[in-house]
This record gives sequence, structure tokens and C-alpha cells, in this order.
Amino acid sequence: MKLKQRNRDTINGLLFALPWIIGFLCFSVYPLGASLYYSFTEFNPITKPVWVGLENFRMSFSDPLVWKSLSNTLFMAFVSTPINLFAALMLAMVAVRKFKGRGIARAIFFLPSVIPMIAATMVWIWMFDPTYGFLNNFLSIFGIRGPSWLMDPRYTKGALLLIGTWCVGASMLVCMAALAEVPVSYYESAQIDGASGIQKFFYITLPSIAHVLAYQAILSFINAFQYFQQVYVIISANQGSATGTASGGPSNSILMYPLYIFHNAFVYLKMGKASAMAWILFIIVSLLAVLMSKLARKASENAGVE
Amino acid sequence: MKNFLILLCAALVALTACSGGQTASSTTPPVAKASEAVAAPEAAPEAAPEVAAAPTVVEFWYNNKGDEALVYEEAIAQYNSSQGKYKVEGLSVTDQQKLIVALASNEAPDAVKGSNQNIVTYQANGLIDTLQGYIDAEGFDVGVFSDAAMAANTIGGQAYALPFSGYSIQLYYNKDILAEIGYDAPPETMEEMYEMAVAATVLDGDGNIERLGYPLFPLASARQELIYGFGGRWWDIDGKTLTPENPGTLESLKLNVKYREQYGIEKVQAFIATANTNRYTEQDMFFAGKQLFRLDGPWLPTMMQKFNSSTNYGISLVPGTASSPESRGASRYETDCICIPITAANKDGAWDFIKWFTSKDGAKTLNLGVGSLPAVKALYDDPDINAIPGFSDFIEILKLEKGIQYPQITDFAKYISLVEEHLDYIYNGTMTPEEGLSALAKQSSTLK
Amino acid sequence: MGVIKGRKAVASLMFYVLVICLCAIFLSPFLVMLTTSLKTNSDAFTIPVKLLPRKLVLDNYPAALRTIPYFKYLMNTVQITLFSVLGQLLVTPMVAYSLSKIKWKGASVISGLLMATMMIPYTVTMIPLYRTYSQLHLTNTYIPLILPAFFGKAYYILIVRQFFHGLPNSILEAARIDGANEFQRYSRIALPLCKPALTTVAIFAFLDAWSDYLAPLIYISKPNRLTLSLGLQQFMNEYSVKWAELMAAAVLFVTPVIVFFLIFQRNFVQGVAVTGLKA
Repeated sequence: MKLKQRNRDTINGLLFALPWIIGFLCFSVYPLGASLYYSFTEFNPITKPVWVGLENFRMSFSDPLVWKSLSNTLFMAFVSTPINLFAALMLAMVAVRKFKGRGIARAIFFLPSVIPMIAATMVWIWMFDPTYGFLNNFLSIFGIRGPSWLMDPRYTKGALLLIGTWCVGASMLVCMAALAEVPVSYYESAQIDGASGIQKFFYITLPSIAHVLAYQAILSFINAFQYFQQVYVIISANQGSATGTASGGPSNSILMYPLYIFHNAFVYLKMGKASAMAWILFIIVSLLAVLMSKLARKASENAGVE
Repeated sequence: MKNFLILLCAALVALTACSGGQTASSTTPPVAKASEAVAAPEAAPEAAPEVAAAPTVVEFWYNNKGDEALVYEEAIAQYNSSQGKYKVEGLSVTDQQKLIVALASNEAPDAVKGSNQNIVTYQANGLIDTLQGYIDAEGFDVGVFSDAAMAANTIGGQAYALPFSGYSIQLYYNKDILAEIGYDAPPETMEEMYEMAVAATVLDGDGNIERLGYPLFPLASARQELIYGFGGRWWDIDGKTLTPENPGTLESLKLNVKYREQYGIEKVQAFIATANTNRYTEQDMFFAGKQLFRLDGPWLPTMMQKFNSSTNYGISLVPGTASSPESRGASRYETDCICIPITAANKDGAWDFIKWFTSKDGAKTLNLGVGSLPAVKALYDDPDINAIPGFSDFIEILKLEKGIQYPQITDFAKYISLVEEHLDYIYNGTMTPEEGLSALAKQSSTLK
Repeated sequence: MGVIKGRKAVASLMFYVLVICLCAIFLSPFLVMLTTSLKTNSDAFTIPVKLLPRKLVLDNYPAALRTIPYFKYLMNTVQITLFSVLGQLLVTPMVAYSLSKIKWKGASVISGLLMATMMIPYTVTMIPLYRTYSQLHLTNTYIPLILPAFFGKAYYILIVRQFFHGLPNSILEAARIDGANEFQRYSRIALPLCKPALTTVAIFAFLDAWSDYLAPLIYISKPNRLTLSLGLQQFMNEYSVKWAELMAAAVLFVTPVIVFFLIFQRNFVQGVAVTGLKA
């Protein structure tokens, strides 16, 4: 009787999860496998894949733009993650306090991360205009002469970071929730011990929410490897239609890896090479994800011990 | 929740109902396209019985929009009423990337407008069909087109598209500024141009550039004509070898950098960035009298007229250099042309349409309506076309046949991307011209 | 005593100044978008640049609706969005139920795989999927954009699973004793109870579909089938960008989202916080 129940549970469980299982096979497993096969072939959308062995990988590794785009993407991942986390945490510390109008303030901080990225990017492109843009005109009030944000390769990534920080709302909410879960008694006993605000932050707040921050860091990292829309739009705005197919912004400084995969697949029509590049990306992301979750686990374990 | 779901379903049903026809046609595989092509059954059910008499549909994509799209539709209407065998349906698709994807699918249109630069890419990827078969079979005379226009669309001896208009880039100059600095004629050499440029550059109190002398904007022209005038080339005349370390290119870049350093790299950069934002608007730098020289195309005078620009301009050849005066007038030459995708369903119809569209009558409608230079030689002396501001100057220049053809290499788009990257390094002072070009040579050595 | 009180007042004043500055910074792009949309194009390009329009005009709005077939694109976007939301709402609770309320071995395996799928970048699966849809003649239809929604998305499943974890098993157990089968227990008890979580899923699914960019970019090329986000991009394809008009179009595109957000703010906050903390 008991065994029967277990079997029935298994069947039911399977049935209920069936849509997702089918989806998983069709939209994750199959494409992953197929793209691995494609990475050893050469084809465009109307030709059949022809086996070329390791040629695509050889071509990718010898392509300077692959390296350029990879380094751009890694830069964004490593620089934007700490900046965004820091900004999110700081905003959360402000928004979590009790004050009049905090509901409005929270909504305002969160709003940018809700609106469609394409619209946000377009507004920022306009804000970044060196002469007519809001940003440089605002800076000039303080006597600062702003750069040509999207034309000068030294500032393009800074511009992207700025947009990213503006959209940090979701992380902020998570941090707020985490902060709210830190037991008040910790702070109270620290107060009695005469700890300063900064000490409280480093010895209580940070360790208590470390595991949440670590998880946010992983997500932020993975997002950095998905970077596409913003740069796609910025580049097409820079060029206008007259100059034809898009490249990678000033000095290819915002040619992100996913964008270059897209170029190879849907502009240069080298789908085999694009598949190879996609798999390289997949391997990098998987390795980083495993590594970071190990680190995160360690961090939260350490925090638990203390 | 249930209520919400019911509401949602109701909305979906309503939506599907009101856009029913379209959803249905969008979900039916394009097998239906063939039947559409035979009789266009949805559009005219009464005409369906007499299949033989009904015109077959030719789907034609062009990348113009707004007023220009209307001109294309006008031309299409003229063609449709001129014969009864084919019915052309035009569609404006402005995104180049979308076009490539469509060409590489089994939903390709029957005829596509492109530029000869696109034709090279399409051909290299096997996306378009050669027209040579039709040309040979019918004894079609390609001599009606200018040599450069036809050569631009011929790859390996096979014509892949026929041209109906073209453009080159030449030197616009502001006559008033030139007079102000004491010259009465435009420069014939780059050295002269540089001299004038320096004399005409105006700074404000903070050292910001108010008036740009040297034609560093548009960047596309700085990458091409400003270099061609020095005899510089990014690729060899054979159209196959890349020449990133050409001495003329280096010479041009040295002067370019000299100007930037003289007025401050940042200041020049800022001017260009702003010029890029308001390009071809009322506030365009040249229209507003803030640029002495401008290397730009034949569309500029018409735009200036539209925006009531008071700039007193002249048109001249791109300067050569003192040592190589024959470089004068060298410019890219790009044609607008039509080709047939390899997967097109109605190639015969497309060919018939192409012949008309690139004929004297068809091309004239386009040239006049859009304001583009003719590729059909018979239109060079057409009074209507010569009445468009600036066109008589440009046609005289076209007759010199100094257009520089695009190379026919597969990795062209990537090469240009690398060129632009290294030009940026040179422009912002990260690399000297020599360093930049040798780095470019190294990186582009693997391109095919 | 008075000094401490005074110091406290100063501190709280400083805090308010900080909050107001932050709010101003975060709001400024919205403000720029709105005010630019009310300027004439030449006003937007006049130095000195002013935040507020010199002359208030509404012309950009009708102009923006003419530059792109706005209502056509709106209908397309709404269509895709509604079907996506429907799909997610049908499937998400089922899968989540299986993972948290049915005792079977697969549950933990699937939960692990769910997390893993969240790590797969879209660009990795993009090419084979494109090829398949293309061979099935499904490009230029909305099927590639809608179909995945009917198979569940990891992020949403996690939200609902988390919610189910919070439901006491005793309720379901009581129903079992009354002779209800698994599906009845799901549809009559669990589903009605998880309404708040489903609202959250619906909101996220709405936003995702509404803002989606890369998938439409790849699959839709026919002009009359484009979505709003691609339509917005079309302003950039002009030889010169009319910023005032573009900003007007952006306002029209963003407004529904903002309204939506303001109505459902609570669900948003919970949804984000739950997945961020517990996943």
C-alpha cells in the first residue's frame, strides 16, 4: 500500500512537472547539444552544416575581436558587480530606515529597474550627449567639463556602468529584505558594548547578509555575460543607418561578447563560428558560476561560525 | 485568480478575433506564399478562377522610409500599370540586419534593393542569385549603366545586381568663411586645405572649438575620402589584398592627428560628438556655418534647402596632394541596386521588374523623387535631374569615373570594424599613426 | 540634553537631504524624457540647454505615432504579452506544486536543474533554436516568442515554489483523507491559495514580454509584425535622430509599465525579495 502510494506520487510529480521537463529538453538540452555540434561545422541559415572540425575554435582564438569582446565583457563583469552591489547595499541601508515618505523613495529607487531597458538606454544616450545632454550640462554647474561619453572609448564603459547602477533596484530590494532579517537583538547588544555605526556595519550587518550578497554577486556576474541590448542600441545610435552594419562602438570598446556572437551569427552569417563562440561563453559562465557558488558557500559558512 | 484568468482568456479571444486574418496568415507556413504568388487569392477571390490571366506577385523590399518610401511605391505603381504579367508588392524594411536574416531564410522576398557593398556580402554568403543568365539569354545591354556602376555590381565576371542610382562623396566648402580668411577658390591639394583649415578654425574663450576647419566630420568620410585624396587605400586595386600600411593613409593620418593635437584632442572629439548628434538636422554644423569643409554626398544641398540654411556653399573635387595631383576627386562610389535572393520564388518576375526599375524611365522616377544621382548614363543630361541643387556638379564628377570600388572579400565588414577601432586609437592619441596602422596590419593579417 | 537633541535634528535633516538628492538623481532620466518630449526639436538642440521646454508643445506625440505605426506595434506587443502571461500562469503553479507538494525523487533533481537553466546565457541556445524555427517556417510569427512561456520559466517557478513551501501540508493532507485526488487537491486547494504568488508571476511575465528585445530582434523582420521595443529602435535608423519625437515615443512605451508598477508595487517587492533571499 505504501509502495503504491510512492509510485503514484512519482507519476503525479512527473505529470505535474511534465511541461517544464519537455521545455527543458526542447529549449535547453537540445539547443545546447545542437550548438555543440554546430560549433564543429560551418553553415549559414540556408546551407547545411558542413563538418570542419576544430576550425571554428581555431578561428575564434585567432580573431582579435573575440579577445577584445571577451575582455570588455570580463571588465564589465568584474567592475560592475562590486559597484552595483555596493550601490544596492547603500540604497537599501537608506531605504530600510523608517522615515516619512520612504514608500515613495523606495518606489523611485526601484522604478528604473522596471522600465524596458531599451527605453532606458535611449534616454541615457540622450542624457550622455556631450553638448545637449543633461549630464554634462548638470556637471558644468560644478565647473566640470564632461567628456564625450559615448564617443570617447575611455568613457564608454563608464557610461554603461552608470546606466547599470541606475538600474540596481532589484538588488536593492533583496538587500533590504536581508537587512530586515538581521535580528535587532544583535544591534542592541552591540550598542551596549559601545560599538560605533561603522563597527556595527562591519561586524554585524555585513556578515549577517553575506550569503545574500554572494548570491547577488553571482547573478550580477551572469547578467554581465548577457550584456546586449544597451550596447546594441548605443552603437546603432552612434552610427546612424548611413554607415551600415554595426561594429563595436568607439575603438570597439563596447563590443560585448554576446553582441559579437550576434554579429557573427546574424550579420556575418558565420553560424558555425558563432556557435563555437557561444560554447566558449557557456564554459566560462559555468566555471565561474561553480567557482563563485563555492566561494559563496564558504563565505556564508564562515559567517555562520563567527 | 480565476476571475483574472477568465478575463485574460476573454482578452486573448477578442484580440485573436480582431487580428484573426493576420494571425492565421502568420502561422501558416509560407507554402501559402506560393499559392499567393499564383493568384493572390485573399486579395481578389473573384480573379482566382482564371489563374493563367492573373498577374503573379513579386515581393520587393527596399530600405527607405517616410517620403522616400512613397517614391518607391509610386515607381512600383507605375511598373504595375505598365504591364499585366506581374504585380509587384513593395515593403519597406529599414534594418540591414533584418534584411540579411530574411535573405538567409526561406521567406526571402523576390527582389531586394541594396548597395553594391551589400551585394558583395550577400554574394560571398551565397544569398543572392546571379543575373548573368538573364543578361546573356536576352542579350541585355549593360552598357546603358556607367562603367563604375556596373563594375560595382559584378563579381567574378558575373553581374549580381543592376544599379539605378549612385553616389560619391565630394568637397563642400563654405564660400563666406573662405573669403573671410582671404581665399577665393577651394583647395586643390590637401596641403592647401590644411592651411585654410587652420586659418578658419575658431575657438571660444575656453578653447572650445566653435568652427571646425579640417573636415574630420563625418567620420566615415575621414576614413575614406580624406585618405583617398592622399592616394591612401585600405585595400589594393585588385580588390583582394588588404593594405593597412599604405603610405598615403599614413600621411593623411599624420595631418589628421596634427590638427587634433593643435586644438586639443578632447576639444576636437567634443565637436565631432556634437556634430554627430545633430547631423543632417537644422542645427547641422555645416548648415549652421560652423564647418569650413565637409566631405559629404549629393543629398546635402537638398537638405540645406529644406532647412533654409543660409550657408553659401560651393562643391569641389576632393583635393589631391602636391605630389600626387591625380588623386584629386577620388571617392567611394556606391550604387543603389536591385538583386534577386537565391531562395526567391518568382525570379522571372523579379528580373522583369528589375529591368524596368533600372531603365531610363524607372530610374528617373527614383532619382528625382529620392534625390539620388543617376547610374543610367542617359540620365546624365536630363534637365529635370540637373535641376536638383548640386547635381550638375556631381554628375560632372561622376563622368570622371574616379569612383573607388569596394573590395570583394568575405571579411570586409570585420576589416572595417578593425580599421575603425584603430583609427579611434590614433584619433584619441592612444597610438601614433605608425603604431596604429602596424597594429591594424597585425590584427587583420588573418582576414580573408 | 539639548545638544544631543540638536545633533539628532541635524542628522535627520542631513538624512532627508541625502534621500532627496538620491531621489532627484534616480528621477532625472524620467524627467529628461518627459520634458524633452514636450520640446520642439530645435529647442532640444539650443544652447544653453534648459531642462524645461522654452515653449510647451505636444506635437511630438502625434508625430511619434506617425513615424512608426504605433498602434499596430502596440497590438502586436499586447498580443505577445497576453499569451506569454497566460502560458506562465498555466504552467508555473503546476510545476511548482510538483516540486514542493508532491513527495517524489525527481523534485530535488528538477530544483537543481532549474537553477542551472538560469545560468545558461540566451546567446548559447539562440542559434539552434533559430535554425529550428526557421526550418519550421515559424520566423516572422510570434510562436518563437510565445511558445517558451507555455513550458515554464525557472525564475517564476521558484517564486511559486517558495510560496508553496510556506503553505502547511496539513490542509492538503485533510483533503487527501476526504478522498480528493492529486489534481483536485491542486486545483481546488493549492491553486486558489497561491493567488498572491501568481499575481507576482503575472506581473513579471508581463514585464518580461513587454520589454523583450533580443528574441523579437532575431525572429521578426516583417515591418508590420514588429513589437514596440523594436519600433522604438526604428527612430535610430533615420539619417538623423529626432530626439524630441523619440522621447515622446519612449514616454508612451514606458507609461503603461509605470502605471502597472505603481498598482502592483507590493507584489513586485515581495517577488523580488523572496527569490533573492531563499533561492
